[in-house]
Amino acid sequence: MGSQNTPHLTVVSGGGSLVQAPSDDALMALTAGGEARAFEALAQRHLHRVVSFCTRFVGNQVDGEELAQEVFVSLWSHRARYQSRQQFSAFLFTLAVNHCRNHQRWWRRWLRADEQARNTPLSAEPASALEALLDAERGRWLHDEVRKLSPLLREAVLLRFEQGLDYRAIGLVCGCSEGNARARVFRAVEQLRTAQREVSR
Amino acid sequence: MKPCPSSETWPRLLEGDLPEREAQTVREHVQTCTVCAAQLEETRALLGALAKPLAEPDAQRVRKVMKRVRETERQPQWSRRWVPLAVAATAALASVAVWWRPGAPGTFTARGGNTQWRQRVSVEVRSALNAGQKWAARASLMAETPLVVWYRNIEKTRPLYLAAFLVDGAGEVHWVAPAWPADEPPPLLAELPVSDSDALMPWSFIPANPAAGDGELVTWVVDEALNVEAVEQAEAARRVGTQVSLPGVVWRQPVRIEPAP
Repeated sequence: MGSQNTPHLTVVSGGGSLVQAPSDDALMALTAGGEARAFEALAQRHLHRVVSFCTRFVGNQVDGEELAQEVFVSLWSHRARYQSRQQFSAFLFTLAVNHCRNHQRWWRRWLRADEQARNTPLSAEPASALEALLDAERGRWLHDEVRKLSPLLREAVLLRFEQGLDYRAIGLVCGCSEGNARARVFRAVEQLRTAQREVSR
Repeated sequence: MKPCPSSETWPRLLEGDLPEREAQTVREHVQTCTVCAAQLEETRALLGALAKPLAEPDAQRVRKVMKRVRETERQPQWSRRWVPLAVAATAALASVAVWWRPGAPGTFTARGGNTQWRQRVSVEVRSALNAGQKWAARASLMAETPLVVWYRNIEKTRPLYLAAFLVDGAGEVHWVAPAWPADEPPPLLAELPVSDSDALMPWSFIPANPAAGDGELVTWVVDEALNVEAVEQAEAARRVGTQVSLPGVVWRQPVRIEPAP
């Protein structure tokens, strides 16, 4: 293409090391400006993480999926409150934890979830692909034992090991100090280890 | 042999929460105690099981949340005192609509280009830092600004290929799309995915030390899988006053490139 005598330009970057996915912070800044496409990119990246967190927190897939949808609708509604360079995961999971806590406060749901957990045998037939995954990951006991943790311990241990948040971010999400977040996580692991030992006996 | 550590030790060891001296002592103990070694492995397995996600990315789930967001946006958010004003504004708009008739509903209008292309494809390079706003008539671009590519392509009968680059103040080309490792030869242009709605290319690009001065963001969509060198030659020819016709549509956005602070 082009004439033989046309000069060539110098390509100064093809950019292997410079190519990077837009950061969550950049996408959230776009979202804060009302850019729905950036928000969709965030949803593609993080919605399944929130589904996972909420499902483990409330103990069933249907409510977990619904809560995750509500979390992202809230994220859109509260987009203007996001401050650039804030840790996006902390912002997102603060919304997720608040939704899960509100869900738990509704005593009818408490009763229903607890009854469901008690009535579900360990060898139950998987009700869905997600339930099948639950069974595949070290048996259903882990799912049930996480549900038995107090809400404060449950959210802390899920944020640390399922979502990979650091202790500072967990403190921000849970409204406690970094040291307190650390203590909650270790206490939760200790309770799960106790249950694990009983299962392996 | 030292006494076995308490069970609280294992997660703290795995999380790096023990002082190094104590951690070293525990590690040495584990090498000689099979019971503690088993406990450490069980704890590691437990944390690994917790880390396994229950849900995978799912496009249908994302579509559902976007639908809900759009529904939320459509719900009126105004307080009662604005309602009379809204009614008056609606009436004013309705009267304007009597004599002003926009194009057919659903028509997709892209910037620039010829008639054959303009309703099929649109591509824009934008800054990732200014909330995705369109550029002003002569916008400023900081040297280290990450650039992102938005596109829409409803041409489903043939593949289209994208070239997007920044021409800096010295006339040098910084490619945004395609991008390739510096130690590999320049590739062919990448195919532009079909998308009925506006979509974002899954990467951002930071131009490497672009020369300050007047530059251009150039977006080219062609229907041949050209080599990037062909595009560069056409661009170079244009700069010396020779127009080279490429089989496609081009958009140019003048930008003033500011030096990095």
